[in-house]
Amino acid sequence: MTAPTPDPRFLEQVVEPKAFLRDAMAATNVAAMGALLKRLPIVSENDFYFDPENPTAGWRPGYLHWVPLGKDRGNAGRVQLASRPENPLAERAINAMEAVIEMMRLRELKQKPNSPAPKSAREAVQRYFDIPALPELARLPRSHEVRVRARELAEKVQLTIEFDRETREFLVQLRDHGMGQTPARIHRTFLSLGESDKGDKPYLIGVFGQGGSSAFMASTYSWCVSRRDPAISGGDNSLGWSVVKRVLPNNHRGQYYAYLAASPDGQVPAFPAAVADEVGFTHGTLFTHLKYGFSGGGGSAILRTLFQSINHVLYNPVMPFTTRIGGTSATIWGNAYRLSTATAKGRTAQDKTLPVANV
Amino acid sequence: MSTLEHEVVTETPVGEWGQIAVRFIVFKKEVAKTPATPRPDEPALDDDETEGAADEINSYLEASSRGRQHVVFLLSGQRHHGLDRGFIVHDLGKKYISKRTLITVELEGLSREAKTQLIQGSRSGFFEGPVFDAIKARLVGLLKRDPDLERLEEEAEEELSQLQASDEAVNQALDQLIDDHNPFGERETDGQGGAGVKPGATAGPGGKPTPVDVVIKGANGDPAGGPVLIGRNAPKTLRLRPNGAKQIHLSSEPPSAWESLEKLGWVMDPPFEEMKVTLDTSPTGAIVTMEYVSQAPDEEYPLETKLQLFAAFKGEKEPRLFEQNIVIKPPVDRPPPPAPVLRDEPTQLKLRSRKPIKLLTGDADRHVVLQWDGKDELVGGPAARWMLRVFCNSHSGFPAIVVTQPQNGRFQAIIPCPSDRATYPPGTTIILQAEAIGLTGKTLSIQFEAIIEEPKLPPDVGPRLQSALIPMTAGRRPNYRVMEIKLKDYGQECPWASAWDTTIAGALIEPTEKAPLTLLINVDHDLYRAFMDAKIKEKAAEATIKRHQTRYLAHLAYYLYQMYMAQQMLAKPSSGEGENTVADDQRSVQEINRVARMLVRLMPMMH
Repeated sequence: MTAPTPDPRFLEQVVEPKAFLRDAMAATNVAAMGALLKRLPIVSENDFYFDPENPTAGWRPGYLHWVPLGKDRGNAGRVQLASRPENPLAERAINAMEAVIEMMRLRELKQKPNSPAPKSAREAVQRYFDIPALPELARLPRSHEVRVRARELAEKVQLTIEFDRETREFLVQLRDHGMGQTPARIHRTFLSLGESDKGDKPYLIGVFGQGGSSAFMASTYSWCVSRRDPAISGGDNSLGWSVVKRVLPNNHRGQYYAYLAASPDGQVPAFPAAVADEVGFTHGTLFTHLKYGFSGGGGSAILRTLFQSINHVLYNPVMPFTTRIGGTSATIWGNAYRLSTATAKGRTAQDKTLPVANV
Repeated sequence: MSTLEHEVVTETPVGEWGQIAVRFIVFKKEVAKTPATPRPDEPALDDDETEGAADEINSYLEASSRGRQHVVFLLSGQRHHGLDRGFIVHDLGKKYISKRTLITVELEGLSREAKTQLIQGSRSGFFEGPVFDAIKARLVGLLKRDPDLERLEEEAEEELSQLQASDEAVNQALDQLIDDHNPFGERETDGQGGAGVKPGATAGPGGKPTPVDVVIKGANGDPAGGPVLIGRNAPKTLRLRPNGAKQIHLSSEPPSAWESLEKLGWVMDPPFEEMKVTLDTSPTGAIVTMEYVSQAPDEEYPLETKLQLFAAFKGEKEPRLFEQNIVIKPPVDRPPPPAPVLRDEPTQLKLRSRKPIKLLTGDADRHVVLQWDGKDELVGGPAARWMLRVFCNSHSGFPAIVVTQPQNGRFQAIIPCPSDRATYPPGTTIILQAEAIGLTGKTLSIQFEAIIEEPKLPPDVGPRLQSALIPMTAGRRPNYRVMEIKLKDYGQECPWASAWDTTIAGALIEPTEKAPLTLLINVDHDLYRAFMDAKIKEKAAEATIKRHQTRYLAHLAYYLYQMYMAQQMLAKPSSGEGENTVADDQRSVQEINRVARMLVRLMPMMH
């Protein structure tokens, strides 16, 4: 049976898109997200059993439904893969870097369809942004110009981590200004498990296509919004979004991770391009993870150690990225770069990546 | 200032699995406690700011609660796997520099097959199968015999030996505590002497040596039978610095004969009053510690002497002799060598290692030092204008030779030692060529030879009967030493923490082949210092203060000794996961601090 294409306008009859989007982007804790979800027509996870063989069974038109990631109610084993809460952040950051690289590659192919693919992610960063492997910056003549360029590139991937003292919740946001996805593809990419075509692209990094999903296990809610880069959108400039949570339905012994779908084929809700323009979301992807489960002490103590952890987990990233942790902004270059600056002959050791968090 | 002591950057092949890029970094020892990160009111760091030296390595490691990974394995820049410093301690044999060492291994150059065998879908580390084993083996081959790392390890070990030994009263009290409370502890070898009696000293330089026949391991003299004394780590001539100490490990050949040891003693010829020799026996051998304490001016050196160690074994008529030549000499304060003149257009390439290069069949890689006069940045990186390479000219199938990044013009060629005796029989001459090739086509080239040799077998020597002067005596001492940590030692590496400070009461270093169990007592620990200051302030008698001091130090040392014994009883078979986890270290610090607190509280009540 062919599933009907979702009518993106059905939500517009319930919520005012621009106000909803603004509220959603401003939701920084679980209570705010819970209130937001109450404004939406959603079928409870206890009232909808997703059957991949017959996805329309029980589907109520005009409502959003909790659909399992990868359309698999046994997905917990493939989501809950991280051994430490910092690891999903690295996976998300790498996905974001890939989105930036892939955007440039698709733009390139649009201009030169026969252009050979870069052989590695580092070669791609060198080709598209003229930035070498970061540890080599210290040995580069006139490296200041390259560093300035690298800092500009770092702005394309932004990791924000905040701790709300009142609710005692961590907020994690990963924003990339990369290729983005059209609403029709979001459930096949961000909200899928293992449906990756990265293996065919030597200039990308991941292989399994489910690394970033481990961030879902650490969060109570994850809000995902994406919009395709207009230069490569193929005409669909609308903005797709969804919310992911762990569900424990009454009639199911186990748990699984589900997202809000707008149609039985799994497509996510969407808002028109004009709405995205109005809220200033030009292209790229934003993941917001609410009540992220860091461990190891109080909020301030955790925030202070995160710079160190991120520099260690992403030891030698293919590109730098920006962090804002506990109100302090910094560019993350990775430990390999930091060590290089310490070893550069005739220079003093430097460290620009471990600012003291104002927490 | 840069705080790195040593760095090796190189690529190396891992059999059929492709290549890995290795970066081995040793940080300088900490010199002071300064913040590694700026104060909150400082502006964000900019390109030219300086990072504090102290604690620098910690900023490159994960937080201690997450396990300190001194060896990290990267794929696409992401850390996928790590090993703690146990790998550096056990596999590379670099215990003393392990805490300030970082190894990063980039795996980008591995084959797809190798990568797929390593990566797990769970991303909870690599699959530690054959590929991972091959990588670890390559790291060992590459780094274990690196002469620079061996030198750093020796220097670090020597620094430890410069710590001040605790005084005799503490040693005696500790001996007594061990004897009284540990029925299974090491026993004396002959029953002579009470607790704290200096082993060997009763029959040392003060005695009257008598000429007798002895059996010695050597090539001269009449062949004899029975066990011989050997010094396992003894150099031909032991070089000792004034106010320094060194040790050798004495045992028997065969080792089982040690059980029948009856007496052990020593004599020095010529004798020096300033030389203190102690013998710490254990069920498997004895640690011989030689310490020379003197304030004599440097002009009086060098001094030369010979230490003769004697043993009587049950059922053997002749005593056994081991001789150790000693030279006492202050360190030569040489000015640092002038910086080499490095050019944009290099003109020469030289071999610095001694010729001919010897490759021992099946041994770890041989590090051959070369030097050119090109600037370091000419090689490697995006601005590279020259390439350095070393290859074999004589044997087409010779394993690939990698070169390290130059530092001040000096670089290493890391030459594998072939294990295939059929292709490379002993005596084979390998012709090697080193080249520096510029983008313009200019080439600097030198050729040198390497010779395949069988690893050295022990010399063909056996028990020989000779005549020597011998003082028959006995030795007794559990196999440990007590050293004091003072304010001046703060900043130095602590076995249980990154550096000593006033908050750590003590620690221990497990015995090695070269050193016995070392019990380190912080005599400037804040609680103990406060207690002693209070005693001084209340004008306690000097004898009382001394008694408290001895009691505290001996009891704390005894507790450390017990901690070590407990560790040994609970020790699991080596898993390769490192000697101690950070959590273990933290627990150990908490435990010894708890005991120190308790001792300080109890001392006024102890009589």
